[in-house]
Amino acid sequence: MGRTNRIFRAAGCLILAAGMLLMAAGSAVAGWEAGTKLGFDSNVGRSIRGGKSDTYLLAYAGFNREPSGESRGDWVFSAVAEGAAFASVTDLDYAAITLSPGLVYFPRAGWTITVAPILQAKTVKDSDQSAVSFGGRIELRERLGEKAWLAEHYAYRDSRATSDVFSYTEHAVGALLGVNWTPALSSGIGYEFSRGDSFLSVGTSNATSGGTGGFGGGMMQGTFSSAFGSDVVKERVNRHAIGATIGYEWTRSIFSVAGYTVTVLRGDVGSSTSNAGFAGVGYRF
Amino acid sequence: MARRIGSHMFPLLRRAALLALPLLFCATAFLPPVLPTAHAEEGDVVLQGSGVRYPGGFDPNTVGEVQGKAFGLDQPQHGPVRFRLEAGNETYTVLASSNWYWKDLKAQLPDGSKVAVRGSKTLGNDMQLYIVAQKIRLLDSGRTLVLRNEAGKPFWKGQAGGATGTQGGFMGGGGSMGGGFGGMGGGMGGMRR
Repeated sequence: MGRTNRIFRAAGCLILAAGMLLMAAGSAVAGWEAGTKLGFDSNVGRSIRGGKSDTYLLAYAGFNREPSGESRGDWVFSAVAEGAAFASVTDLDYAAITLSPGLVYFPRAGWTITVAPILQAKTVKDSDQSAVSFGGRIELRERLGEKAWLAEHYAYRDSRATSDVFSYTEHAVGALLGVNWTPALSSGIGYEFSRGDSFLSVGTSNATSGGTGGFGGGMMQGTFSSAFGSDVVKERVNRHAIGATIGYEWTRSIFSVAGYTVTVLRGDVGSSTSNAGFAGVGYRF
Repeated sequence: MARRIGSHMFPLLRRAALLALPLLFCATAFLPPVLPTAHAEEGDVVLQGSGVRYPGGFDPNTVGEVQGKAFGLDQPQHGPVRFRLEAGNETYTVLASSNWYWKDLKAQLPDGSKVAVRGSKTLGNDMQLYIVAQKIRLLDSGRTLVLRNEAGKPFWKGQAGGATGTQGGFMGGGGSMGGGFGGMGGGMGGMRR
């Protein structure tokens, strides 16, 4: 109860902070963007036994301040408000606001270093999953020739949900290779590894606990999640994700993007695999 | 209590969201093509005298290459590095890049250097010819200075990504996958967190 209040309070603070930063960035290299995405996820509950797939429709609106490039150092800022509705597991419907102010430095031509803290408030229909998150990300991006670029990143995230089983901290490292095939067509492939907490759906207690002290001995006792219709446990996992995106700019304002990601979570109670994809359109203004 | 409020609010919110999402989808997908698409380049400055926008005044429809001799390299702290390009009977002002980027390229351009400049040509308000340069070939040394991509996006702004948008693609933007901003992005299509 208290946590939910804190989440709403945090969301209010984030909106206020966003407003102030938007005013400060008003005359900068900045733009707005809105869009929608239609997506699917083959395992929305991170089940270790197959899992349930679902589709969702997402809408977002965001603001982005880019570096001007006139000096080696600059600041950036992005704010995104988004909401998603799921077709089947409607308890996952959510709304979120994410803020990320940051600093950019160009150590040499074609290289970019970005350091940015991240704050997010998210309210989920299944209020156990509503959360406030904070973290940070550092990224090094290098241009490879005229058309390709490579980015490596490290990110830390601490997410505190209403129910502790959905809270997590994680450290992630990843790399992304992108190619701008034509002025309009671009694509990228990436890999990310992270180590941290995650919830996993493990079925019902009757089927999995084996009778003594919950899941896997020393781990957290399973908690029943009505959203997933299953017990969920939280444990340390290794996460591997590999994905690809493709984007096309129809005009300077309108673009389409599609992506596909395969994610594997490996924990002591088992492994969870998810295939997720999306297609969307966006409009910059 | 908050939980009870949440449970009362969500059916309403959900209905509103279900109505709003398709509307926004349709608006985003179908409305922009009928709107003027002259996307404003925020952060551009209009160069005094010429009226040329910098760095956004690159029009892919007017791209061409001009060969000639370079004179009068000017490297101001703010605004584009520029030089005069004399090509036969015509004289162009070449608008290159920001100062730090030009310095990093370590380009030598003494007066009289032979160069070939590819870029977007435009006529300034002062009736002078300008080229917003994309590439400059130094014919004496054989070196090529690449300043912008084919769409004309300045490399000195550092954003090398493609059309992933704010919600980006895989691992974009605001943190872990599926988290937030792609580009500003967070792989909304990635793993939901």
